[in-house]
Amino acid sequence: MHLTLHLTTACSMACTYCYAPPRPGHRMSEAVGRAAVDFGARLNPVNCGIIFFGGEPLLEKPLIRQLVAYARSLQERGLSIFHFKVTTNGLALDEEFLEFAAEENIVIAVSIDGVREAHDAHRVLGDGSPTFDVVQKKLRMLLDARPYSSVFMVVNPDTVRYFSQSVEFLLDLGCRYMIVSLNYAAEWTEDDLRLLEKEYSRLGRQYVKWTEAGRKFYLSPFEVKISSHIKGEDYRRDRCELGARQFSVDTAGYVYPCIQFPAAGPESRFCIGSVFDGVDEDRLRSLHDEAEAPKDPCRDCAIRDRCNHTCACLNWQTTGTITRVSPVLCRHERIITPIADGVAETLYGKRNALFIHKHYNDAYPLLSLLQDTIA
Amino acid sequence: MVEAPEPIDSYPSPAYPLRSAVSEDPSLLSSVPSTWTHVREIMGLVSLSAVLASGCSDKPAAGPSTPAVAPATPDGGSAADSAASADASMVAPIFAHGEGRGAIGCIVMSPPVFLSEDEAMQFVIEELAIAGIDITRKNVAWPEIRIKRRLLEWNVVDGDLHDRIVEVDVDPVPLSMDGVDEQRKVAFEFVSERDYRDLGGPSCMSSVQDYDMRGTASNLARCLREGGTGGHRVGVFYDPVVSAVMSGADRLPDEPWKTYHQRMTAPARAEAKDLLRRQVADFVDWLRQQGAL
Repeated sequence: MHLTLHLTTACSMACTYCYAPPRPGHRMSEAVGRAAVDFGARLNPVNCGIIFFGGEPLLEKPLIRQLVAYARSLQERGLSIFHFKVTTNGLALDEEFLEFAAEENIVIAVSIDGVREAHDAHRVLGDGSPTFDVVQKKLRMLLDARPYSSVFMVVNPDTVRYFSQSVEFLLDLGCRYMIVSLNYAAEWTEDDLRLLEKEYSRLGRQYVKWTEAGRKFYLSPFEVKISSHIKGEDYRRDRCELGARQFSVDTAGYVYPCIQFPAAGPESRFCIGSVFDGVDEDRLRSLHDEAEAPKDPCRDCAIRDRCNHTCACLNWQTTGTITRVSPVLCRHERIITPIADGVAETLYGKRNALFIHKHYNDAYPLLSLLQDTIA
Repeated sequence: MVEAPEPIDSYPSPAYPLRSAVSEDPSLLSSVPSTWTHVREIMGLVSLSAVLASGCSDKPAAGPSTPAVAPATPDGGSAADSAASADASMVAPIFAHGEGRGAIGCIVMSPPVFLSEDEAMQFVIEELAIAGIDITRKNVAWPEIRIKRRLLEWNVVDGDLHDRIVEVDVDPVPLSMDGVDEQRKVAFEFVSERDYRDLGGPSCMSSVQDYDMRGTASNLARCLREGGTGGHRVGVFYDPVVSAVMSGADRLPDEPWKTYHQRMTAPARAEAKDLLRRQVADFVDWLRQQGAL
């Protein structure tokens, strides 16, 4: 269980697809932040992950420093071991914060949508001006300092034609961890989905080529789908489960079962408590059971155990309920699953050692790090 | 806007294994990216992770580990533990084509069709020759590798029949490799019905002898990893064991039994050879990945 702290609703960008458009004026106070850290330590007395989120969390750098210091003071008292991550649009990244992040071992993830044409189509400032140049520069700076940082990339119907080109661009830039998501809430047409399939097929071929060339990377749509087969039963336990792996805390300290729900507000049924009063277990269980109940028509689908239809957050964003699955998500899963399987079958069939260790050896991250360190 | 489609009726099972395959056959991890092979620390960790993976297995078939002594290295020195660890990557994974399981004896209805040792050896040699591997030496003694004999032991516990593999306290059998290309430093061993027990295949003390060729090949590969290969890259192949159904009712009038037997087992023998060919092809691919070809 980890905590996502929404430090502010303000943002320095105005991305057109944002599910929580910026609302200036709401920021987390230090008192709420400390209470959230206490709450996290109570929830996770051994190991507590805290994600600084927004809006744009780097608009609240002083608060991040205060909360990290407070968490470390709890850690010194043996209350938990804290790990931190910050997800940022990159604009406010600077050397000073990078140094602080290195000292405190804070993982930094940057949102970038790939090549200029894809990125600037949606990730813009409030006046509509583009951000690609500055984000790319900040990302290079981050990768120089922290080569294992991840990037988040969103694919839209009007940018899908740049998908494979964007992944290649990011890989060449030095990104190894690429988390990709469709903008499921957008209006996708049949033509867009055909293009998406073509782009995934192209990426599948590239995935094989890159792996055979010994390049190490994590490209989420492929890794997740391959893992959904390889892990079998374990994957079903690993995938999205509402309120089971993370809570989100809004600027006022109200708690929600996932990151999209703070937008619903404390009066909504998705508010399950606060960092001061704790979690209403009955309400949480009720939401969890509602989200986990078999869904029509998914219950009869042959790939239901490998599909992301259990993501209540995504369902709520795209259909307005946590129990109905977006047709776009369904189509996406049908496209990516056989392509990812084809990639895995090809590489396994060739007994590609890198592929086998990456997916079958628990020690792979350590081995890979060791190789990088020694090389 | 796109429409919600109907559920998918059926989806084929992907042709790559579940993660549990590693605990069943830790040799899967023995092949490593070429960029790792020169880093001693990585090779040590790879060996460790393979051991840990095997330790997590709840399958009894692997049996107890078989101690073996490292052979002399090409320069005449004795192979130390670290060298054996480095040699772990010199033994190819078992390429699973064919179940390799069958039984003969009083109650067996579909007898397995075994490939003879000589027939299989010749077949493997010819397949390797296509890839440029010239097996010039046959039945080469590697006496430093000794395989312990094993026994399939049956017990009834609380009314349930349990089996386990135990090592037998008799002199271990020195290994003789079926074929070696000294120039390319490539060797192979084929687990056949004839040398099944000598290679650690568990004997059954009953009127039925059960064969697990693939498991025995895995056991032999582990012995080689532990004992070292003297710098040779080694492939262990196994008889795929394809069964034939022979009731006798389909015997032609006046057809001699020998002819009938040959006719009925021919498809199984052809299938077994095709499976063995795939094992060899995967081994050749592995050698290419290792930079040996």
